[in-house]
This record gives sequence, structure tokens and C-alpha cells, in this order.
Amino acid sequence: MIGLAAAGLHMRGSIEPRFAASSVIDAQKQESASALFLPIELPRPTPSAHASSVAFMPDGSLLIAWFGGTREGADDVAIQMARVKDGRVQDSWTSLTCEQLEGLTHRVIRTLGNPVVWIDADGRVQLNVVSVSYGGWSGSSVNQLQSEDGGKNWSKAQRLILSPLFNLSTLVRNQVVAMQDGTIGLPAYHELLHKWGMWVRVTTEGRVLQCERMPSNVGELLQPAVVALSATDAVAVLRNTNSAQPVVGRSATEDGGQTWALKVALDIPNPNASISMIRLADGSLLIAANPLVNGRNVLQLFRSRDGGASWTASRTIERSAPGGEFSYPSFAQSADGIIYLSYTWQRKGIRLCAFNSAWLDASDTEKPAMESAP
Amino acid sequence: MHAIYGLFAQGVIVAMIIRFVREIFGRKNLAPLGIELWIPAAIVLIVPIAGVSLAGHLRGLWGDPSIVTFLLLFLYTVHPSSLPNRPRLSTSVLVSLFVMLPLYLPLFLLNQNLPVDLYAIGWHPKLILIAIAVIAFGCVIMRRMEPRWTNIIAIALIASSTGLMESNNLWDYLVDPGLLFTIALLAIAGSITSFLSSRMHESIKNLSSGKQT
Repeated sequence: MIGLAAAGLHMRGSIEPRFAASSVIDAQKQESASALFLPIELPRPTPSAHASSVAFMPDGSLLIAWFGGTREGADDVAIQMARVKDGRVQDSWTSLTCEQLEGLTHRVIRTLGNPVVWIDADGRVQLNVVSVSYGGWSGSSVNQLQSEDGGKNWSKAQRLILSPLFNLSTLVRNQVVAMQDGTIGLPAYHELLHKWGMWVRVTTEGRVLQCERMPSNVGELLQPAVVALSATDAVAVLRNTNSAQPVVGRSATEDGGQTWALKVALDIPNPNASISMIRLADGSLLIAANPLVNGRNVLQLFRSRDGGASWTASRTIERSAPGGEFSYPSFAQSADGIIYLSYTWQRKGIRLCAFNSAWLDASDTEKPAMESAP
Repeated sequence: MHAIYGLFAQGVIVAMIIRFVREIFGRKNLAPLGIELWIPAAIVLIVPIAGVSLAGHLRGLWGDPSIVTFLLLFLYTVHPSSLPNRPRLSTSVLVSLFVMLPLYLPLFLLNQNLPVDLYAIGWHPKLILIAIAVIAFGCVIMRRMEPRWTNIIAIALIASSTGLMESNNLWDYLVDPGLLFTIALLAIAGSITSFLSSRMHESIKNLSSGKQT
């Protein structure tokens, strides 16, 4: 009786989850601006770099996190960070090593991957990062860490337990979605044997409140990128690992993420590559993707003005001969409407560019905006 | 707190394995304080390999056991006779069929559109608590209550309310993949003990009746 009472008292009342969807600025009310596109050079402290994530700090600077080392999966891989303000790199540093995470979690960590960085309501930097103790990415788990000093030092680490079988194979890749109650929606995925997207609601302390599978019929879909359209509605686009139907997958919720329904896939090819999506201040959605059946040598933007139902091709960021790689994009939009896009450049470094809505609307969609030469 | 529990549990797992191996070889008696069990357990907790204690490596390998598994391992290690009636192999089969299969099988299924995700219920465990209360009430009515099992479940429930483990899913306090192996090992250990003691009784009986063995 005592045990039942203790466990019962500890239960949280289930509050209907609601997205903290940002309000839409009327496009006609936005100041007219000339087209802007600005490439920003980031440091390359390691031979290999991949999977960047961006977030705005309370002071308006942009924080970029990625994993780098001698190669993906190596035991010297660490989370690198840089801070950009006014179009220039202000600072860059090695933020988290395997040894540091071992010290925080008291377990062996062989390698790190896929950082997702975000700022909580108290201005703390939060980092969700994938770690592997034994085995490959299929044996990975997700950790949540907090920093009070902008990502230099990490004070807390909570391993998110999302799977009943040794917590195997849970990973993150794309940006979080803020909820009205102060919790966070974390898009995650599972990739052991079968692959599926997951929607995880967590507190800023790393307490899991909910974990839902995203349905998957067109193939094996993973790495969901989620944006909220209203307090109850959100849409997700997903990477597709099925080479028989290589198109971007789509899922949606109408109840604050409690249930997810499979939607008609996008008419955009997907070569088993990560996608990023953002809801711009004018309410339109913007995707960065590799629109090829094979290869990641083209990185292009697509825009939707109907909540993700239809998409039109927008500007091309990078294009090279087959074999090149411009992948794993990540978006953020500043308060003044500038859109920042970071992505993996040839696995050698992370590239960052900034542009505005006027640049997106320009008609030249084919010519790559970035020079392919390093 | 998570780390203290997780690391200590790895030490208990090692002590349990040593006790089990000793029991297989018929060596039931321990030195004072059971030092042959707890010194290796302490080594696992303290000695580092590549900067991480052996217990940290074990945590990385198989994670932390559920509270129920931990208590069974601990009781077996310190005082085997204090265990609830030695679980039988049939118990482990029942546990796997009724609890573990519905939890783990969906991870291997092609159809990912689950009608009910049993594991997800563990984050809002009202239904699990009601089920436990109903089972407990049924056991009281049928006079089949096993106090030691009741205590183990109660401790697991209290631990879940204190957030002792990394997980805040109630299932992770009650079951884990190691529970099946633990129950099976305890059943095997129980069978070996019974077999050895019956052999000993038979030998004594034969000796006292003057027969040669």
C-alpha cells in the first residue's frame, strides 16, 4: 500500500500538451529589404566534421555545435562549438569530449555524435547529444546536458531512457520544439533493425514525459524535423532510408504531439539524407535538403506556403560533381528575420551562411550560392 | 544518485555471479562478511580501466538493472534463504510471456503503427499501479500473498517515486532484460542446492545404515 501510494503521489497530472507556436508576421507588414546572402567562415579544428546544430543565444549571437574528430565514430570525436555575432566568429572551442561525458554520466563513452543545441527559458544552453558506449550508432543513447556559461562547461548530464531493451538505439538530429508548459518536444529516432521517428517530450531537467512513435509506411523513416503550425498542429519531414521510394517522408499531429499520422510523402527526392525545416516569421516553411535519388552533392532550399502540403524549389546553396557532400543542414532565424543555415561541407568542416527572405524570393534557383572550393 | 545506484548495482551483479559459480561447485559457505564476494565487487567499483571504473564499463555494456532485479541479486548474494520462494523456471517463462514480450517485441516488429505502446504507459503509470493493486488484492483474497515479493515490489514503487534510477518510466523499476536471466539463474542455483542436499542426505542415510557408497 505504501509503495502504491508513493508511486501514485509522484505521478504528474497529465496536461494536454500544446506547442508554443510563434505568431506570424504579416508579409505585407514586413519591411522591404534588398536580397542578402552572406557566407560566414567557421574554424576547422578537426580533420572531419559533421552534423551541425544552431541556436540563438539570449544576447542575439548564434551558437553552432557539431561533432568533429579524425573521423565519424572515432574515439577522439568531441563536440565543437563556435559563436557568431554580426557575421563574424567571436569564439570557438571544444565543448564536450568523451572523457568529460564519462565523468558526468559515470559510464564508458566510446564516441559522440549528432549534437542538438538549444536555449531554455532561463537562458541556459542545453545540449542533447548522442553517445555510444559499445557497438555502433545502433547501440547509441541520448544525453541531455546543461551549461550555465554558454556551452563552455557542462554541469548536469541526464541520459534519456527511451527504449525498454538496454535503452538501445535512440538518437537525435534535429532542433527541439518549445511547448507552452515550458517543456520541450525533442524529435528523435530509433534505428536498430527497423527505423522510425520518435517524438519525445522532456523537461529542461531531462525528465521524459512522453515518447511517441511516428508511423512509417512509405519506407523506413527517421530523423524527423518538426515545426509547430499552431498550439495543436505540427508537421514533420523525415529522412527516408528506403531506396525503393526515395522521397522525403511527412507526418503530422493535430493534438500537440500526442498522436502522429502519416501523410502523403513530399515530391522531393531523398537519398537517405538528413533534412532541416524551419517556420519563417511570415508563416511559410523552409526546407534544406539533398533533392537527389543518390548522393548528397546538391543542397537546395524548398518553400511551402500551405503548411507543408506543397513545396516549390527555392535557391540552391551548393552543387558539385557526384561524390561531393553538403549535408545535415540546420536552420535558425534571428529576431530581425535573417535566416542562418549551417551544414556539413565535404565532411571536412561546417559551413554557415545567412540570408533573408528577399534573397529566397529571387528567381535564380539553379545557380549555387556558395563556391564549392574551400 | 543515479550513478551511485548504477555503480553499486554492477558490484552486486559481480558478487552474485561469484556466489552462483561457487554454488555450482558446491561451495556454499562463505568466509566472515563474505569477503570473497565483496572484495571483487569493490575492485569492480574502484579499479579504473582507461579512466573509467570496471563498473562504468559494465554500465555502458548492459545498463542498470531494475530495482526488482537488483533486490533479487542482492538477497541471493547476501542471504539466499531470504529470497522469496526460489523462483521456478516456469515463473520466468510466465514473466517473459505476460510482461517482457509485449514490452520488447514491438522493437523487432516491422509494423511500427502500434495500437498500444505498453512501454509508453510507464511514463504515466496509473494503469500499471491499478493492475498491481488488483493483483495484490486478488492475492490477499486467495491467501496467496508472498510477503517477500510484496516487499520487493513495494520498494521498487517507492524507488520510482524518489527517482533513484536514470529512467522515470515505472517499467524500468520493475523489469529489465536481466530479470529473466536472474530468475533463471536463481532457479538453476536452487535446483543445484536441492540436488546436492538430497545427495548428501542419501549418503548420510546410506552410511548410517552401513551400506557402502
